[in-house]
Amino acid sequence: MKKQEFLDELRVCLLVLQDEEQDDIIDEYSQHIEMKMENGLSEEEAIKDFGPIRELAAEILEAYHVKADFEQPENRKFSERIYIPEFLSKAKENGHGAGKAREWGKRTGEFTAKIGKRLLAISKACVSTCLSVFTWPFRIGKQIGGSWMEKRKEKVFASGNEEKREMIGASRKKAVRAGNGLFQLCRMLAAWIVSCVFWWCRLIWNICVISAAAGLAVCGLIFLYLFGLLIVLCTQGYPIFGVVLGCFGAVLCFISLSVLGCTFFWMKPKNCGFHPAAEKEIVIDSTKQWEMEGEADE
Amino acid sequence: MNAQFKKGILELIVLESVRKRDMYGYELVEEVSKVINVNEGTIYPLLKRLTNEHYFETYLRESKEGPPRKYYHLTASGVLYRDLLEKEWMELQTRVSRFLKEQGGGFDEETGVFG
Repeated sequence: MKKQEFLDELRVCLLVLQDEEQDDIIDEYSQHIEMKMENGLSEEEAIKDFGPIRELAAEILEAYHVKADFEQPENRKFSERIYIPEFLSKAKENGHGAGKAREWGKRTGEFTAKIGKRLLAISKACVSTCLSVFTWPFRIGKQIGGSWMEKRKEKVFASGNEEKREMIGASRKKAVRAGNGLFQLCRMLAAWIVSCVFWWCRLIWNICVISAAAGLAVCGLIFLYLFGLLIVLCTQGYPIFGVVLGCFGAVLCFISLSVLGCTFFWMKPKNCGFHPAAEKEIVIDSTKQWEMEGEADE
Repeated sequence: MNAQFKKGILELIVLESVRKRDMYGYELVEEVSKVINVNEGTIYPLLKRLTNEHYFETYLRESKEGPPRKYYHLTASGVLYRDLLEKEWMELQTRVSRFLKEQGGGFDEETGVFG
């Protein structure tokens, strides 16, 4: 091998380094070869003393903490980059085993998917049952409130044919004109205080619920961690399967408890019968009725 | 000699050679070759590594014949590292020879025979 050939080949192996470093190394080797030639060795002999270029380059790269067998990422196949378990790669080596391994993988995947779907369905059912059980007081309250309001409305509207409605409008105007402002103000103030109290109650209650749920969730996470730890120990051959199962139960328990805690979250009522606005409506309705009665008396 | 032996002790020999006076690559290779027969290819990467680890400093100096040469100079941390390696080497040597003696397989200095 000629000197230039050797140096070119060496440079190709060192392309990962910076240009100055490459030049530095190449210069040094070139000088070394020249000196050996001056001392009477032939070009080939001088180069032969360096040994295989690949090994030489690997040692140089090692000095820079660079992987000697590193290839550019795009040259690699995707399959080489992902981790393949040892038994699978062995099966691959065997050739006919590759198909089997793939089939086995597919089956496992399908099986887990099935289990996942079942679990999802079960958990959905559980959640809906829990919701229906634990929200029944609210629903009943809503129903009662709703029916009560409807009755009220029916009363008003049953007695309110068009004539009477007109009369209500007229009397209302009259009342306003008569200076019922103070009464209105008081009512607004009262409504405001009530809503404030409600708001604070809701805030406190929700904070309690959230903190309780958070505590339970943290407990659940701790047990989940413990569960993982125990599983690892189990796979290492420790006889603690019972404890692991217990721990799993605790995880499920705490998670479900925290979910349950979230269902107690007191939302701002929208369609509920006890809504302040709805109450105002009722008040208005009753005043209408009262005014109507007054009209009738007149 | 066992290639692994050589590889391990090469570092100490190189550091010791440069400690006495600054040397350039080819000179150093010749110096080391006096002690152990080593593949030249392994010395340059070693010099590179020791330079990258700041045990050596390099500078260029003009030469009468040919282009300027790159000289290697041992730094303070290089001296410390050399001392450490020497200490380790001495310790290893005594331990191994003691072990060989205990086993009765080594060279017996009194009788002058092996085994």
